[in-house]
Amino acid sequence: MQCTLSISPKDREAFFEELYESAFPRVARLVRKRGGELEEARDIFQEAVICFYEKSISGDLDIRTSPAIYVTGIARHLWLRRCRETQKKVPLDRLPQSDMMVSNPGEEKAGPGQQLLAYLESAGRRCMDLLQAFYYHRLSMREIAEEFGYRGERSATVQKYKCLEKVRETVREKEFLSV
Amino acid sequence: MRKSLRDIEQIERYLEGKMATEEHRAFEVRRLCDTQLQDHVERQRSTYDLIREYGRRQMRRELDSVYHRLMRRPSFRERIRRIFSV
Repeated sequence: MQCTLSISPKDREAFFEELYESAFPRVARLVRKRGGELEEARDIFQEAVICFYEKSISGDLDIRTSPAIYVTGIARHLWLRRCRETQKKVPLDRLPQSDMMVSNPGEEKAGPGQQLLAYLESAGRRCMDLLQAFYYHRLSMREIAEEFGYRGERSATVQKYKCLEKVRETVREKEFLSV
Repeated sequence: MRKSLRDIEQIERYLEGKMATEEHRAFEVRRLCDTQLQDHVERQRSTYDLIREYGRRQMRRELDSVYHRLMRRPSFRERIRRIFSV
């Protein structure tokens, strides 16, 4: 049986909140047990939620298991793998965090992929939002037509292909320019 | 739908392995002889990867915003703080 998640952004938000409340403390504890810090716990938890989300919308999960249990299990696996890979030691220069509410924006590695994404996030926003709704969040064309205000499924489908074409062109242009 | 968009739909079916054997074979032959088609196939493949990355980035932003909202609640913040205080 499929685990089907509600898919509107609002529903996603409520779902994530519930997940943080039910599963994050547990994940935090297992990260802490091996000397991990809050930032690592947040990072691992995010990866686990994303992994869980992607699996559940492609129907790979058994709905009898609660999301919190899935996410915790995935997080444990990811954390143990990371520990093995980095042979974790607590760095000597690591200072205790005094303010746990300080946000730590992820340092994304600069590179052509990241630059292209940044470009698409601004100039190509509308297209990318439509494309991610279909290809990433797996909304139906009917839902997409409603959400994005298209006349109908047919119209939304044509727009989807137009956007694919545009983004595909951008990929070529940007690669050409970076040579 | 104009031809260029139908081509995109076809490339998509090819990349997703949704073509019947004969159609797949015919497409492969075309691809070998047509550099523009090769280019389109590769770019389209990259585009799907980009869409997934875009989706993940947005998810991370959403998750960050949920986290920060929860950390403004004393009960949640205290639970987490206790876990990380040595």
